[in-house]
Amino acid sequence: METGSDPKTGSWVDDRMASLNTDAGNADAARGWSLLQQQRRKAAARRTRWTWSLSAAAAAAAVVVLGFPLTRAFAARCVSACVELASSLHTSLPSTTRAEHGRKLAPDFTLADANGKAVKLSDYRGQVVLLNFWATWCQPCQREIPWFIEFQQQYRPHGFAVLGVSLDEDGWNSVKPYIEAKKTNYPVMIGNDALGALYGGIVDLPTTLLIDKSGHIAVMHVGLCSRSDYEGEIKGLLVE
Amino acid sequence: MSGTPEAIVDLAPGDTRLDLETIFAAQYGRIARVIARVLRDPARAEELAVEVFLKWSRTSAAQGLAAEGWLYRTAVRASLDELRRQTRRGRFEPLLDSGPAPPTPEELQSSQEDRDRVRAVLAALPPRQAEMLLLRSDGLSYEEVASVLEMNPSSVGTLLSRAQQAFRKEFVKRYGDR
Repeated sequence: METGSDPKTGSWVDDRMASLNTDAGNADAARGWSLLQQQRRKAAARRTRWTWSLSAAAAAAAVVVLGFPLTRAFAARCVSACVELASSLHTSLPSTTRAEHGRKLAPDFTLADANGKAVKLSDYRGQVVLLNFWATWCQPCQREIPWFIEFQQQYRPHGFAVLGVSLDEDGWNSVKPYIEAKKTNYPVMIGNDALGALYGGIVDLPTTLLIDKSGHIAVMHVGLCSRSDYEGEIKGLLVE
Repeated sequence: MSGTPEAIVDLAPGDTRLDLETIFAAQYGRIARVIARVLRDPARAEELAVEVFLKWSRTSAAQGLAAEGWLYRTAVRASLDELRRQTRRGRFEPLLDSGPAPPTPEELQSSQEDRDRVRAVLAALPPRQAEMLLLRSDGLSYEEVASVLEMNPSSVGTLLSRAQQAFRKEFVKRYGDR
């Protein structure tokens, strides 16, 4: 093989390149994995925000165009496309209530709430539980939280409970001021990737599960869901 | 985190998550090391390594048997791109800073200076030559370098030799033959 180089050049370069090895310590895979999960969640939240903005902008443009008869048919198509786009946010996982025999048991966990009180999921057996994974930086999550406060107030006497699990990286530093400002009336805990992994890996936020009275997962919503959908599902599970 | 999850009960995991988790467990150490050799800042190197895996999870052509070579190639390219960005930024920062930051004890050591010189030369070389030098110095054989960079294996020797000459020439031009 023709190289045409000074034979010493190779080892001269190798010597200098070898100096880089001292900066290549052992990577912490657990920290890397945790960082990767955080980045995935943030990317998912960004995607959701963009889709909402796009959908809202297109709908606004369509409304303007509706004012002109000649372009009304075109505008009607735009509106239906926007509706489809927005409905895609109700995303990928099955969001209808599963038949009772096909449900899986919700993985149990114990976490401390903002007051340090232990909250154990299995202690809520006999009640319908809405388990919401969220974060303070997640815009769609912030839309849902006032609904959950109202659900807790309205349906608690009928055997219903909301549990919030925040996946904020800085934990209570962000979450405590937020829940105090919102006056949440249900337990909020700080979760982590280990808990997320128990639930199949929580990548998109919000992710909300409805757990039936026997502790099985009846509904899983990934992304923002409508208030009426939640309400219908809660009522259905309460009468099972 | 004040409590710990208690019992693990089966729940169908997402398919892509499992794939990503498997490849991450197998390759993260190598990929993070390759990037850490190029970049001076360990935190940025870690961040970039994670970005490589995220990009992999969104690239369908990189799945399956092609995964390892793709990860290696992308890691080397991403780290060199970042190195060039940092080098470009470094040219202007002295104009904006109120004064130079005091050197850390580590920076005072000549070994750190050596590494910075090697990085500066790598940033100045044509990308393909810098990639070959990095992969070769990471212990890859000619065949492996050819596979990762999608090159003809028979031309690796010649091109590597040219890269070495270019490296030495640039290094000597900047810092002398020491």
